[in-house]
Amino acid sequence: MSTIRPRTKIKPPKKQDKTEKDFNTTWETLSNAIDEIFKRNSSKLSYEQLYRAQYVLVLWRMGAQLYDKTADKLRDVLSAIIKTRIMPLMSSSTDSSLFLQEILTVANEFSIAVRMISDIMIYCDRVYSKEARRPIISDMGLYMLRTYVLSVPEVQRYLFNCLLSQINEIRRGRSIDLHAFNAMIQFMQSLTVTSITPGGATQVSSYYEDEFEPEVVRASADYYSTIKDTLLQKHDASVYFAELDSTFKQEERDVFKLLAESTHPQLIATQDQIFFQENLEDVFNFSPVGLQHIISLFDYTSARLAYQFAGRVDLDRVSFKQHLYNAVYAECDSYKSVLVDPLPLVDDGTARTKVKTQETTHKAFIWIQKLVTYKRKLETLLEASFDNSNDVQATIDEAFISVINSTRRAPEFVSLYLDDGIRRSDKLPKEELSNIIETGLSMFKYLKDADLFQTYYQKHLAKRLLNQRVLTEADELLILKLKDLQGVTYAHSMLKMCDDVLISEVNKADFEKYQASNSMANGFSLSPLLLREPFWPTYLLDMTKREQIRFPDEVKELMERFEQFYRNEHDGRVLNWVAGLGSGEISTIINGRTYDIIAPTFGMVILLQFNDIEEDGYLTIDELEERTNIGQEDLSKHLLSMILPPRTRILRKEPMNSTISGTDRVFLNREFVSKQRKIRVALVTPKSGAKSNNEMAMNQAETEEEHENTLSKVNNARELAVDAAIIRVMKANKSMHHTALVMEVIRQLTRHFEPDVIIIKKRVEVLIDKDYLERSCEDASVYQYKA
Amino acid sequence: MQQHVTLVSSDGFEFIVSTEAASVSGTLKASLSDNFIESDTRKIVLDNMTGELLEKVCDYLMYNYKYSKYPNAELPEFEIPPEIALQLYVAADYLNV
Repeated sequence: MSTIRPRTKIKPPKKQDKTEKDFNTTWETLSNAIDEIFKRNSSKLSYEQLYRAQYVLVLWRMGAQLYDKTADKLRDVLSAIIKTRIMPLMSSSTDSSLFLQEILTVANEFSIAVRMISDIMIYCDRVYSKEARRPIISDMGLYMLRTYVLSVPEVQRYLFNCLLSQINEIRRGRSIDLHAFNAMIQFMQSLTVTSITPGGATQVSSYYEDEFEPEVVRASADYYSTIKDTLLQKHDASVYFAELDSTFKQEERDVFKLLAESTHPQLIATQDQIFFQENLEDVFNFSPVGLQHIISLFDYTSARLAYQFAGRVDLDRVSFKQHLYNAVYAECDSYKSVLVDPLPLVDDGTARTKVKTQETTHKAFIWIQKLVTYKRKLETLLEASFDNSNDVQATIDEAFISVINSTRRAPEFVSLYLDDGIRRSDKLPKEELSNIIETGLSMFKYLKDADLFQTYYQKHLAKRLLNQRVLTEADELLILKLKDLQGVTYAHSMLKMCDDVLISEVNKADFEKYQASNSMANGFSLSPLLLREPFWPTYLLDMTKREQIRFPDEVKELMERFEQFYRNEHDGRVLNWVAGLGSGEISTIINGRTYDIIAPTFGMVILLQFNDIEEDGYLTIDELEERTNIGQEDLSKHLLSMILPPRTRILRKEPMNSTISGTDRVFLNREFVSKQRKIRVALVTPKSGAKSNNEMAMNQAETEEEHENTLSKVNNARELAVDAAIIRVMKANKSMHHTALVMEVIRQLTRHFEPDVIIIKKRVEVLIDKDYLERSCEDASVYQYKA
Repeated sequence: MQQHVTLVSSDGFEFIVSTEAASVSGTLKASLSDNFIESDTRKIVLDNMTGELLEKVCDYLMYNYKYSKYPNAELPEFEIPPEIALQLYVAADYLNV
């Protein structure tokens, strides 16, 4: 600050013009100037004069009047413009883009003028508008434009019709004047109003949002509805989805970009509302082409669309999943028909059963294979159409689980399927084998009765191991996988069975060394499988059925020698021979050719009987029975296997028929010819005749009777498992409420089978009777463990 | 764009300043940028200011223009003769500086 010298006189501000404070005269100047500006004659005007004019008016405190007059002036100008320039264009004969352009031109010219006016009125804005809290002049100008041009009802109606019909042109695939259209949309967006919400916050909304957007959404809704109505009449979900997909794409490509981004979600919501909210369920149910049909055809594209569209209205896709479930269930369920016996029933004892068994086995394969194929296809579908969604996968699994478990014999069939794969493992390419194992296991995972599968698998494994006599990689792999899935106990016996086979191999080598070192060779060799009884299916090693057949001396000698050898190695172990499970190989010369005959042990014993019979001698059936001590039934079974099938006709019989009676005479067949050196004798049951060359090697499906048998065995095992679980739980908890106990027992057992609540209840009763548990004195539904 | 503009006082004094310096005043800037006669003639008549006042105004426009380029420089004091302080204040309001 400069120092103020005391004598200096401060001059007063220069007095304003002497002119009277006359508003009208001054306003006149300004009003005329505004007219000139609109006539684009601004360059003749002196800014300074006009500025001073509004300056003095504001100084005179006439700002309000000035402001209002200016507003009036602008309004009048706009009304005149509408009459002279816009109304004449509002007729159907005028091109709509001309109309749009004219509005834009008017708006543009008006904006320029308003900007100049607001530049003049800057002092008014600075002082009056601010003080009176009114919009500055330029905003007021925009408001005028919005109110007195675009919001004039006739103009607005015509304008919107114009824009909407252009959108429709686009929808019909025709082109429009994009430039004018886009400029119009931008212009509408630029016309904003600031309002203050009741909450006190300021809210800026544009003419586009307030007026045009609702219109465009409504018009689009109409358009969508028309499409929907046409599509619904076609009753074809696939068409419905495809058409919608292309409609949506077109909308997004052509229409959305015409409109502001704020409109897009609204249009999408409208689409959802119209196409899916009410109708999707109906569309899924269309007949014949509904969602289930699409899935059954593996129509990836339609399925994908259905999945996407379902997700638009329901993130959980409940209805979609229900249909998918139904489709998968129906398809899987239809496979059951292959299991139903198509042959007419013949009332014929054993042979009939036999054929049926083979057929059932075959059908089981087909059934599993169909399921597996279907599942693979579904996996492709899942990947191609359903984004690999876990949720959808779960739905598919559910459908499989309920179909498979509604098939009574599924556990057996799955086991047969795996058995077949592993049996062929040395002939299959590695990938295919692992594929079989994977799919077989995936079927296994669907099984609720894991214990039943266990029973069957053990049985099939046992038979396979006895036949192969070696352990294949595939077998080991599969058992390890089962172990991973179900725990050590589950695979325990299977692992031990495998161990037995491995140990036997080592043992065989040791025995051979032992024989060599003691020079005991007699032209025969023996390689026993050492099976530990507890781990093998009981029916195989059943003591009561153990045949006491008479072996030829050479064989007997060998067996005794082995027993001796084995006792040397492992003192105190009991050896029992189960002849029925083995087989023998004999080298012989017939018709000058050497053949290696491989026959079941019994067959071998029978053939050996002919060693000491002269060239054309014979043995009667009775003699054979006496010599071998093989029972009638087994004897005839094995004899017929070497008499009836032409490929293994090593013996012949007089009279030549398929029944065996005591006085029939059996000869060696001197005319036997075969191209192969190795001849494998397969067991044949009378009358079944053909088939089953490798029956010994094949695991067959059980007959109904056998199946019932297995079931009841498994049920017994289950009771034990339930007992064990109850005791385990009670021991840990000492005292427990009935419901809690049942739930815990179920939880512990579900991995192996689906425990039945009734059975659990029954077993609890039994255990109470047996004094393991007692009911609590206070509450009868609480059990207590009795130590 | 012309480089200079002439400011004319009520008593006929003319001051030539650069357009940029004149633009320090919102009012002067607006008068030059829109399509009014001043943008053509490059002459602005300020009828309500004496030469004495306008000289000081021009001083200030230059002062402001010069130092606005160096926002961090230390500002020398701008001398205002007390006699015309009030008038200057009104002028500042009028010119929007």
